[in-house]
Amino acid sequence: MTPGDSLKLERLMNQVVDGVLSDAEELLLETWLRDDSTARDRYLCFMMLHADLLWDHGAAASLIGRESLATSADQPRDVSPSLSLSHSTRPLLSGWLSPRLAVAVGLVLVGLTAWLVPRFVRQHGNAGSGVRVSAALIITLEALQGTAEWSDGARKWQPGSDSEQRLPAGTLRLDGEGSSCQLRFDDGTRITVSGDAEAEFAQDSQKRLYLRRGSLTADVARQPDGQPCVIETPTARIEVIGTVFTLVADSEQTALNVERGAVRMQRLVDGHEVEVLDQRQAIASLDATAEMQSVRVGAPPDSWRQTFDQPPPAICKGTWLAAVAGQPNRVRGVPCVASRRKSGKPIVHHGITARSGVETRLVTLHPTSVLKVRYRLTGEASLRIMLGTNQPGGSFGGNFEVKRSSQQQTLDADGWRTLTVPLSEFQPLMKRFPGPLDGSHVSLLMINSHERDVGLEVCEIEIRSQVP
Amino acid sequence: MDDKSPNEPPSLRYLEMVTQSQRTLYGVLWSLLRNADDVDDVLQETNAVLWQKAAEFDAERQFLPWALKIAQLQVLAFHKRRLRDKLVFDEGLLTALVENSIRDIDQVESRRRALAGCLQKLPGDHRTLVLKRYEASGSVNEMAEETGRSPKAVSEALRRIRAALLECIERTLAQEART
Repeated sequence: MTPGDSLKLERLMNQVVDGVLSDAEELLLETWLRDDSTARDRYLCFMMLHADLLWDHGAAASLIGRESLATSADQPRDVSPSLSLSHSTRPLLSGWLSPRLAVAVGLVLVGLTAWLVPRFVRQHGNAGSGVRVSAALIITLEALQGTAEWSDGARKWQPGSDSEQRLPAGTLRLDGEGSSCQLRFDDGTRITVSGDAEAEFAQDSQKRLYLRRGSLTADVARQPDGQPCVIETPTARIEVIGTVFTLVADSEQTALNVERGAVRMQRLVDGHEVEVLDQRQAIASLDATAEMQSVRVGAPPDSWRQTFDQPPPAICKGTWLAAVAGQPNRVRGVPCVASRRKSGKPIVHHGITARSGVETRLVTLHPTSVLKVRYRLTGEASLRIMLGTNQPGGSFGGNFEVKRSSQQQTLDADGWRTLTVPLSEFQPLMKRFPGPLDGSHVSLLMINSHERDVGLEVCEIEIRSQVP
Repeated sequence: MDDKSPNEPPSLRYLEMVTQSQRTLYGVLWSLLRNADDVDDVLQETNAVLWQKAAEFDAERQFLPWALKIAQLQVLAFHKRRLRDKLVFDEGLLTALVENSIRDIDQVESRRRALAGCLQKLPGDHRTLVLKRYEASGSVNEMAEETGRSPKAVSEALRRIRAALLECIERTLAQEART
């Protein structure tokens, strides 16, 4: 390698770590590294130098909060001398235990915990209160669609969707209306949180949940006497012994649908209580003068049609455009957060959302149901249509999706297209909720063009059970 | 191979080796992934696999090469899971880089010791620049804003410092070899 080559390689490597490498330079570097072992050695030395400097002063906050950094840094020295790393990993630039090192020690401790807990539980059944390490992990994430963030107060992270994970008490945040997350307590109690939602989970002598916003379906196993599962929302509190129900909450009201069993709900604003039995519903709001009663939940109709003759309610998404110049009433797609990348950057989709209110669902699905959408775009695009469903009793039924290219539909004289999709062509998005859709109730319908804004406008949506 | 069942906890020696390997794993993963979030993710996954495979580790062999091979597989698995993302390097180049790392693994510690000394030898303003760049969330753009210099000028200053550090490390190692 000539001195000129050395300098050129050095500049490329600097551009890599300073984040200013162009695609062409990237290709050049890649080719160079592939062909030249000396270049690979220099690259590795350079990157190890960069990583060593980062290790001591890197942005450890992205992995672990400052509070827990301090804890992690202290613990190995105070608690476990066998974990002392003072020889090989002594910080180079400062006299403190480095953030990266603290993270590494934390990772090792987490690894040890993850290794020990399943074995302890297998050998001893549910962990007893004397075992702090196992008591800390209270719930298992079974299935996830979309992006979730879990926070245990000291740190935040994004659980993956690939495999089951044990989690400590903490707060779950879901991004995107199509997101869902199913969790299981050790006694078999299953909780499904869906939509743009935030919920807290804790367990001491009893399970305690707080649903700040979003939808939560619970299938609660029989709880010990005197230790009911307690779920609070901004407007209501319920205590559950063992039952299946769904809660939908925001800052102003909570709707409770009971599928099986009985649930007592207390309205927080005045302490008024109501008992809600099978297949019934009650709403607790901030309005203490509103009548709070349990009412029978009727099945939604077999067909549903929306022609946007009026602006859709606020819970739907899209910009309403009144009929003009021969064009019908319609709704134009708007950007919405579908999920988030690991870096926290939102993934924005462009589309419309129709959803039911808390009291009812849009439509009951049957094997012969067909979805029809009349829409137009400013260009060609692939459309994604998602149905969010609930079981007849109210519990979460899963999300289902179909994708279609706009090129598959022909344009009419006014530039509109009609997409028709039989129910049987929708595919489940979560393995744990495979369907079938027959008998399910649709609570959410999303139509979007992914991350491209192609001016999607929808003037009619219909779901109808066709006569065979 | 250790005579233990997969259900036994790892030995304290194994625990030490995993812990002591963190910095090197982090460095090699940086070379392969070049993105802080990805490196953190894959390091975490590598640690999980190291725990799962504790019983499979042959105590007669060197730990770091074994751990690096596991890290390499985790990088590939990571990219398989994220099909839409472009691999920084293809599988062949990735393997070549890991092989070069394993070949020179014995030098890692001495290079680090040399770096500590070389940092002390930097002029004060250069040391400040390094500290600023490598403190939590330090970036060339922010440094440029703070100092009123262009990002290119800051990057060039850092390039010279890194080059000086690398040269100093090589000199120190050569000196050590002579003595």
